[in-house]
Amino acid sequence: MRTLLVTPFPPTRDGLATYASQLYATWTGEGRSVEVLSPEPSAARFNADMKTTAGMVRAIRLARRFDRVVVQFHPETFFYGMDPLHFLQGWVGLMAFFGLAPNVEVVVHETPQKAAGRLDALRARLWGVLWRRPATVSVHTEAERKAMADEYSLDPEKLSVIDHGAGFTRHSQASRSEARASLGVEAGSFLFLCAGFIQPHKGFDRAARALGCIEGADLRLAIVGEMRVWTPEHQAYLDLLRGLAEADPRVTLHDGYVSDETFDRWIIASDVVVLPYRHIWSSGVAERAALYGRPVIATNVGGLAEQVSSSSRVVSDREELIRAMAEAGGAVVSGADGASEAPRRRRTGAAGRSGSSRGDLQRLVAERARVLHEWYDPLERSERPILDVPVSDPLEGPLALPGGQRGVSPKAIAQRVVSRLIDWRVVPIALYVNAMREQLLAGATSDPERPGASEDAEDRSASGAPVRKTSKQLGRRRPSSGSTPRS
Amino acid sequence: MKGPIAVVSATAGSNVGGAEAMLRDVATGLAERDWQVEMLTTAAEDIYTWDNVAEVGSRDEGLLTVRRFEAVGLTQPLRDRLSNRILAGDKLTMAEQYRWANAGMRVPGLYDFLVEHGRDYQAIVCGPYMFWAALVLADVAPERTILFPCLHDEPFARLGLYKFMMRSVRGLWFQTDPEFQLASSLGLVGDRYSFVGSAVTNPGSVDVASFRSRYDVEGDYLFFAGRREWGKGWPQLMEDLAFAAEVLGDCLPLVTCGVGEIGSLGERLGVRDIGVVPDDDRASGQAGALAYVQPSAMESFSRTVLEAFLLGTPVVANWHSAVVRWHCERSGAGLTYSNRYEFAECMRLLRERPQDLRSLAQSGPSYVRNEFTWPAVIDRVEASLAEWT
Repeated sequence: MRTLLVTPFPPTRDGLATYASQLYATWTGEGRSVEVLSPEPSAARFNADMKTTAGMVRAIRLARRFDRVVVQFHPETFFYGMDPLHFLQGWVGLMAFFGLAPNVEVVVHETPQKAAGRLDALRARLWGVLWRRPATVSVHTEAERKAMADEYSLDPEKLSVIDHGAGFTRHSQASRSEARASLGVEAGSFLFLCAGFIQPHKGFDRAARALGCIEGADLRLAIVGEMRVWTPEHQAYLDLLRGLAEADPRVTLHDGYVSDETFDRWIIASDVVVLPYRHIWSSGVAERAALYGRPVIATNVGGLAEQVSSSSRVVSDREELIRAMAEAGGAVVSGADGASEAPRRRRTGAAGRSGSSRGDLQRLVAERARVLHEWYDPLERSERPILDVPVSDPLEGPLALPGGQRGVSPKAIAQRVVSRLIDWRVVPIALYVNAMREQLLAGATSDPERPGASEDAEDRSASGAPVRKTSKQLGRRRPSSGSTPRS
Repeated sequence: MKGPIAVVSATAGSNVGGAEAMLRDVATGLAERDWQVEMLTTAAEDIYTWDNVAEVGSRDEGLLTVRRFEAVGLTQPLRDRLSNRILAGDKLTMAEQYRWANAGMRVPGLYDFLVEHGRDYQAIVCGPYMFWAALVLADVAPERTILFPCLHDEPFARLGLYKFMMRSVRGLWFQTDPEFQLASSLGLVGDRYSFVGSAVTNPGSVDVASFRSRYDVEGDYLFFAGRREWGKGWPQLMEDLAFAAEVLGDCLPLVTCGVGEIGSLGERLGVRDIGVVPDDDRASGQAGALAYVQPSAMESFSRTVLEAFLLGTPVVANWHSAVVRWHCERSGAGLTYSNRYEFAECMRLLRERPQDLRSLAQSGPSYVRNEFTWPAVIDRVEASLAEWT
């Protein structure tokens, strides 16, 4: 049986490529006949940019020469973006691919995050149609299976769960002492490791801040990774991590290219791998940690709780993360009483005690809220619009998508013909216009002056410097409709 | 008998509008001091539909003569379209502003009456500023019209037609200092203004046990009394509660009375809607709550917050309402939140240290009794009438 593996492939710097290379190695090692089709030129024999129509046609023609096609699915492989035009283009391409390629098996590594707005429901239905088309669809954890079934109204029985780390192989044979020596990690230190691409949702800042609440001169946290893509947000996040590393000598940031071998060496050198993700489906790093028998401290998001081994800890909030790291490192939480509330109490001073005045309690709320804010949003962007107002709807409703009239009257027939002729151009335009409208309506006037008893009329940049934001930058929420004052 | 005074209000003091209830209380207070007072209002009770449910015409109700006129002409699509433009910060021409004002509820019968009889009154008291009749009065009887603006910070307050209106009338009566500061900053204050304040009435009978039993409410709960609508911050409160539940694992149940849908998120959160209830039940619900929540950013006085203060219930309120913030800071009887994180932390505090919040709330009753009583308000109203009319 000839198998075509559709996936990003090394030497691309990509977790999925690393995953696929190990799968490829495993399969070929088992004597299977496997070829790889990657979206960009790589070590794979074939490549086609499946985001384009021409690339997708090439992929389909290639796939039809195989008996089985395994797609390692990540939206970036098939979609230029999730705006309506590109979504529709990618969706049509995938529908064709899933329909025309033989025995398609899809392994879903990530589905697009839920978008807000009315288009979301339509989009979810379209995704549902898409996922029903392949012979099998697999995910890595039960949690992902449930989430996917719920989100796209799929029968959970038709989604299978496969072991994320099944095909993983070791890239390094170094011993712990060798790994530490080569990476400059002191032999006697206790090393927490955050490794992976530098992205806000990875939550590496959480680990750095948690370490700041733990006493222990021999504790270390290494943040190892590179920016996968450059955006102002990613840059700000990298700057934030730099700032945190500068503030605590026990934290080091190793920002830059990391080979597979070096990546594994960091895991070998570590005592605990910390995965403080804000959101994720499943983690390849967790699998690699398991490969080397390293315990993991992970936040309870996506399928992580299910994925990590029994020797690992799953935490739900900042306090639990601090406790888990302190216990793992045999250290104590900073503060006089050393109790679980210690970090919070230490930071909130007298207000932590009972019998406080209103001012004390208000300051306590503000300080705790600041900590909570940074737990959820590392860049602490302002959230609350001053007036969550409906904005003017330029179209007075979304554009209706064209559709042929029913019936056999000449007019209905003519409309159907015209519809057939123009839909392929009109539908994307209508979707695009509707998306622009959604975006416009989603923007709301925001408070340029950060209120709060806590501080300031300013947000803080990643580096901690105050940054005044425009109301447009701060705009966030879509208001409920139909409730404008009438009198 | 002094007067006569006309008090012009959109509804005859139904319990869905604080401004209308306040106007009714002022009218009653004046009548009790031997003023001849007529209430000029609509036959409507529901501020969403403006259905004329009461009988049009004049009748005596207690010390007051109440004249009801038919409410007409709710042209909602045009009104909504123009409202959305205003809310989006679009500049409307003066003609468009008047078109917007006239696209809402109107009371032509009241206009006719005022044209014919406006001069018969020593003074005509009206409010709030967005009520259509206030615009009419600025045209037909500005020299004797005194307006309670009941102003809060919103894009409508920046419309040119209201600047014209508020500067045309005889004088403005403000309820609080933040309201006056806002009006001043918007250039709405003319030569005459006075701080007459406002007040809340002592709850008649508070029986928390009976309330719990009647409405099947158990355990600790939050309470909100008011309209469940965007303008009162309801959708945001639902989102904030959901976030607090996510952060804390669960959140205090919310019991609410008033009108409006609680929405699907509210249903998912298990919000308990007890509908429109008698004043005593509302007070009992407030008294029994762990905290009263005020999510509205658009308050001009916030009677319900003061009622909660009076009952010794701690308040957790939206920082973005200047007047509620002012009440909380001056009384010391409530906490404010400016985003979902602070809301969640307020909820955590309520769970961890309810006694501390209760202690704070002890300063609430004296704050209200010292500053917001009807006799003092009516004293100031009378002084102002004597000076201006």
